[in-house]
Amino acid sequence: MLSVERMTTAGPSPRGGPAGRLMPPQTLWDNVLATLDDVARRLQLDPDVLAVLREPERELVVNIPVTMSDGRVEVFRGFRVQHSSARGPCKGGIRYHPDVDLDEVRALAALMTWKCAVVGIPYGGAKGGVSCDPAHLTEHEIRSLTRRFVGMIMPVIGPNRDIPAPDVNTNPQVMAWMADEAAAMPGRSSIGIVTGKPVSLGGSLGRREATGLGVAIATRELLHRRGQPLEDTTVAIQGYGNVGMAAATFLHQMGCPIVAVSDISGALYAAGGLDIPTINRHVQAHPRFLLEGYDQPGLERLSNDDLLTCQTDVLIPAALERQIRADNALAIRARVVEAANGPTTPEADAILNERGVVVVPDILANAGGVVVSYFEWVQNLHGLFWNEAEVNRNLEHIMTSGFDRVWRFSGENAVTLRTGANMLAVKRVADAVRDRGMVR
Amino acid sequence: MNTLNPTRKPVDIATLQSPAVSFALPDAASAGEDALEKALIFATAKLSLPSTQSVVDRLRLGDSIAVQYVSYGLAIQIGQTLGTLDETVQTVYLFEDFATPEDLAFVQPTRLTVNLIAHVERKTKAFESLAQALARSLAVRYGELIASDNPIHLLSIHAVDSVEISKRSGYGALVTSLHHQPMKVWQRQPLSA
Repeated sequence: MLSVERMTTAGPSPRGGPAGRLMPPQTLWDNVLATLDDVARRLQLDPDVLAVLREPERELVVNIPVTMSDGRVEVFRGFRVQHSSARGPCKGGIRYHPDVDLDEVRALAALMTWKCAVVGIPYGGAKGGVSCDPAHLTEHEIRSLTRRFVGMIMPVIGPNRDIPAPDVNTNPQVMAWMADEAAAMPGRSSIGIVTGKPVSLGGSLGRREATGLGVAIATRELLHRRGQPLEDTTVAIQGYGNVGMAAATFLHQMGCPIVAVSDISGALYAAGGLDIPTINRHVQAHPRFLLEGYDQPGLERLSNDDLLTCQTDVLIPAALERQIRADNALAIRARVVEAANGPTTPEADAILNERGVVVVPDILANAGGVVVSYFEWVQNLHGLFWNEAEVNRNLEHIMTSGFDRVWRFSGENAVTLRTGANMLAVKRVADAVRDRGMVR
Repeated sequence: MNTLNPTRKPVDIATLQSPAVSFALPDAASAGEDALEKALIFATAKLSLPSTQSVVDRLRLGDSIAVQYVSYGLAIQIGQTLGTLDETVQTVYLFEDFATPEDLAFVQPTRLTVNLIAHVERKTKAFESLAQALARSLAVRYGELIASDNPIHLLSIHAVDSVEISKRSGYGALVTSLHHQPMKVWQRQPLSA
């Protein structure tokens, strides 16, 4: 097998130890470490435990030969990084993208460790990727690449070791190929080796709406703790893709007036509330699944930037990252529930914090997806499948208890929800490291 | 040569609504049309189909794999066109509009859409006009191709400069994004020494 496994060691890291001398500063991994160090300082974390958490447990680099449609052999580089398995099997997606590299995969693996820990699901964190441009490959080539890649990382994955899932440019079809390839290997027949599979191959019901439902539950919990009735709370949602639409639909069902929504075609605002079911039908019928062309009495059209600062009680950024910035944070009056990954810049976060604006961080608010991935794995291991209502009920339980723990922990430590979520996540992993006897 | 539209007639100058734009951007309309043709050829090869018409048929049915190949093929062609017609363009990226990567995985695209970020030396009105002209010509030609009466807007181009990329502001943030990695589809070759 053309693979190189790099085990981390107790000694100084070849990546540069304290100053990262062999790499330029401010890589993605450097940023992850900077956050970890800050949290460790707040927790007064044992330096030995911190030393464990600062290094991924395992990094596997593989070179994947694929016979292309024209007969040539092309070799692609693939990665699987397991940051921590202290709390359970590692969990994390696999992405196909030309810019995938070890630094990025390492950083994303660590973020998965914290994400799983903050909502209390028994997983560690991992991530994987293949440096390739899938749009340049035929479907046959992608299938061959996927099967060969799985074969090469098989020694480190499995239902009880590390469970991959879809990420950028991978999807349920790619997961189905992975599960099928794994099933062909002796003693490896469990379909629980990957999640995000099609329902026909053991995928879970409710997965598609899971992140949006989790966002709606996080919003409801925030309002509950503020003593604010849902029916008196207006909500604006930036981004009307899968997550934004599901969040709007569930919050509307809970009784919240949704006063503004937006997508790439612009924003819609109605002070008396938007007709979400009709908007959803409009979007489903639109040639590009957009809001453009929708109309109802009392409707105003805004720009996407105006939506962020419109008159509303709750703002849910569910579009691209870094939408709430230093230049618009001063004008944001609403509480923020982060549905997208990284929608608030650190500078804007500081401004919002200074002004007392509550922000429910992405690591908690958009964890619904990974929670239902966990449910898929549980159902696969038990050979027992839940209906959608049961999936949603269990998701509600985990999101609600996760929110409650972060809320109380943040209050007890007098920190923001973001800092509290990070601290709680690191503390849980640190406790597991200590309980396992990995440090004295 | 345009094999997709053999019936295309010569432009009647009397029908042009905006001569200033037409003179400033003489190639935008045909460039959009050519880009679509080449994208269909690209997808035909990737899908091992007998003709571009087969790809068009799949687009009409909302086949997500066909949509993704044509989208990528278009992005490459439009990137090349932008770079050729506007010398301020340095790099062109294709990006997907979504909140979290894992959620994109569960909603496969069934309608053609192309979102581009163009890294330009400086933002100019000329570039804006070029982008709009390309979007217009593509929309018209694609509407004819799939015989749609609905309004079609399939191309969005966002210009960003180096300051926006380095400060990670606006769409410039996506160029170095951890979660929303765009795909580089065209880059200006550095001048040889």
